[in-house]
Amino acid sequence: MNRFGLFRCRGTDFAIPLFRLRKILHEQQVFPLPRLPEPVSGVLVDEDRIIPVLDLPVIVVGEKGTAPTEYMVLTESEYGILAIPADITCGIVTDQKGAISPAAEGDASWLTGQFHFQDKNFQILNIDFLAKMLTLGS
Amino acid sequence: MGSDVARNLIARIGGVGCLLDLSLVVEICEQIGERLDFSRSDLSHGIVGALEFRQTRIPAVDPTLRLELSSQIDEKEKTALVMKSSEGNWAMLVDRVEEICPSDRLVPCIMPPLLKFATREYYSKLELFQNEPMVVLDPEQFYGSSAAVA
Repeated sequence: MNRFGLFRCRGTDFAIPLFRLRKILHEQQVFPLPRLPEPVSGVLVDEDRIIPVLDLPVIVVGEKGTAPTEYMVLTESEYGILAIPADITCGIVTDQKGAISPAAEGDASWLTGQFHFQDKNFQILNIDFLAKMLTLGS
Repeated sequence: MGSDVARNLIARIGGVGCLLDLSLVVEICEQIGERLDFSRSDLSHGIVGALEFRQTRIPAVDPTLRLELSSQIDEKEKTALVMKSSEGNWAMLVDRVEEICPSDRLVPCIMPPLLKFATREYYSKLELFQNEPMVVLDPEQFYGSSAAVA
């Protein structure tokens, strides 16, 4: 049995495998730093650690997510922790409560599939791919 | 009575908090407007002009060029930090000086591995001051023969 953490960012629904989800922070301040790679909008501080904030709208729709979001979803990748902005968090659900369809050929590489739950399609994020994008700055 | 704790200068550059070793700062110059001559510049080295300082002219470096930051403050309204180096004095232009603080008020933190690759040529150290990340600037990165060409 797998579980997903569900959230919404700029009108798109996303899912993260629960074992990747570290914590969710509310109303967190994002700080700018110089020369950050393109998909990073800034950094936040959590327990004296600096966490890069992924600009998810840049990756998904090619638009810079300038407006602050209410939540930050901290996820664990192979390359370190990264924060993903979220407007709404939608809870944790088991995969048995919905249906998973794997990513089709031609789908974006940051997508591992879709989780269909309560008439919504949650895009399942490939956290390691997103983190790798971040290190390469593209 | 003296203290052994090193002191740091906190400056704001393009909205980012930056730390400099205070022992490298010769003087903090405000209201530099008339003392800054833009006709002597070398932008490939980040030098935006010459600053009149103690009857001489020293190179004035704007770190926003190398760091790709955007500042709302006009060059003439900035504060110049006169820095000492093996190649003589030079000035670093900052938006404003915020505080002088001892090192024991800073919390060391690790540069996230995810950012190391992108930032390594520009800075490699961050410290927290009142829970805000501060970029530790190495002045040699901005002026002198070891500084990278922009």
